[in-house]
Amino acid sequence: MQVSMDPGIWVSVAFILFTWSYLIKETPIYRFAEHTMIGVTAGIMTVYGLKNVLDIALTPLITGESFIGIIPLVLGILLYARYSTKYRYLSRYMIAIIVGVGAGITLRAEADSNFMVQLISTVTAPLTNMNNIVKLIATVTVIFYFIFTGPEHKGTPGIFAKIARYFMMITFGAMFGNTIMFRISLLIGSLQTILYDFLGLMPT
Amino acid sequence: MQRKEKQKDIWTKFDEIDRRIIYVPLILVVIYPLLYPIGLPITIAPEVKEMYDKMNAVPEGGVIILGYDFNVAAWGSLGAAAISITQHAFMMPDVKILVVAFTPDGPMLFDKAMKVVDPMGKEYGKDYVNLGFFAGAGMAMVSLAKDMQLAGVDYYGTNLAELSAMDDIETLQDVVDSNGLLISFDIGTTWDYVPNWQAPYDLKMGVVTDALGYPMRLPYYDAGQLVALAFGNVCGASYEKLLNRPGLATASIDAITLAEVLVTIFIVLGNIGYLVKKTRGGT
Repeated sequence: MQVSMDPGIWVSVAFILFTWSYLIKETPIYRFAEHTMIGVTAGIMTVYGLKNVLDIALTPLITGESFIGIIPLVLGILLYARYSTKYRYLSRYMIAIIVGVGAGITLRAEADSNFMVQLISTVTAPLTNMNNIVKLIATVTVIFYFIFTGPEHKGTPGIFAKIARYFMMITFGAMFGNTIMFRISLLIGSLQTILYDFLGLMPT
Repeated sequence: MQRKEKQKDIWTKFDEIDRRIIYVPLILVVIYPLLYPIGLPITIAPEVKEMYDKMNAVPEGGVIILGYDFNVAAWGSLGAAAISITQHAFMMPDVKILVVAFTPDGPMLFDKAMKVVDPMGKEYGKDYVNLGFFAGAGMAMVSLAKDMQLAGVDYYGTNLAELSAMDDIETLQDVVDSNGLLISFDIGTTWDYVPNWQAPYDLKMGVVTDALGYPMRLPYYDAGQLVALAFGNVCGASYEKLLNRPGLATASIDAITLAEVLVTIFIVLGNIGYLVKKTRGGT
């Protein structure tokens, strides 16, 4: 066993153990770890945001390589006009551009790639494969369940709703199982940091 | 007069057990195989073999984009697969490797992977480049696709014009024309990659995700928008076996298997306890 001398590993292991102290009860060291994580994340995001502005807009402007960066720079500064009662209206221009560009990018490809392609794939899949048959039945019945509510869930149409409920329960169960797998992977990752990186205990 | 305590049977006791007592066997079951691997057989998952074959199909002169789009918290789940697939990319002759990240931790995780990956003679700047993190997800992808040298500098601050690996790569179309491939290790960027990179440019794209995100990406795979889809440590262990380089995932797969068996036993016992209690009219 050879304990690591890397301060980064020590900090990492300390925070893992601080967080795990929550398993006993909520402790001040857990709170410290939680608040530190939130603060560091906010700090990193700020630094990365500034770095992006610097690399993509400001540096080309200063070097004369490209002047188009002045537009987002000015509009970005206008966002801070929100803090002024008199000039607050100026910030709405930037918000409108952000929303407009976002909507444009989303509409351009989302409708096709996230909706139509998959709908066509589901409906046109050959029914020679049991998976495809189950997929089609599940899709149709679950859509029926959510679109037609109330009286349509009774009587003969209620059969579709019942089938849909069974499919959904199976799906939620599978998702629960996948969640457990994911959480166990996180646990193993943390233990590997402690056992391999910190304590230097390698598998025999 | 002392009240007689109602006799509790094993199911009631189990139903009321302190959950902290359940954590102890779980941690022991995970720690033991990490230190003393049992050597349970690893079957190569078909979806992992498919990803391996798609990687091998990239021709000489092609470009592989590795999307390190996960965070440190997901390293336990995706780290081993990222290392293995990155190693595979480095083992392929005359293939350029671009590393991009749309999560802040991505570039650092690539550096972490490179501590373990053997570069196989590939030189930084000539054969592979770490372009760094781009904020803005979908919007950043649209801009980057039109100009792959958008940032002007790589993650380490070197001017991209000085890196010969970027000479023939100006737009994403250049990557597509080289019959290239994007492999994204992601926990949420698939929804941005598909409409902004895969669909408009017909870019071949594979995804390695965590167990939680795998079912949500299956519709993309079934629709043919993803050429390969795999998840977590299963991908890592299978890939390590394909490359004949046992690593983190091989070391952890025993732990995962035993932990999941234990959790399954607890779930079954818990449900039996619930049904017994329900039968007796309890709440």
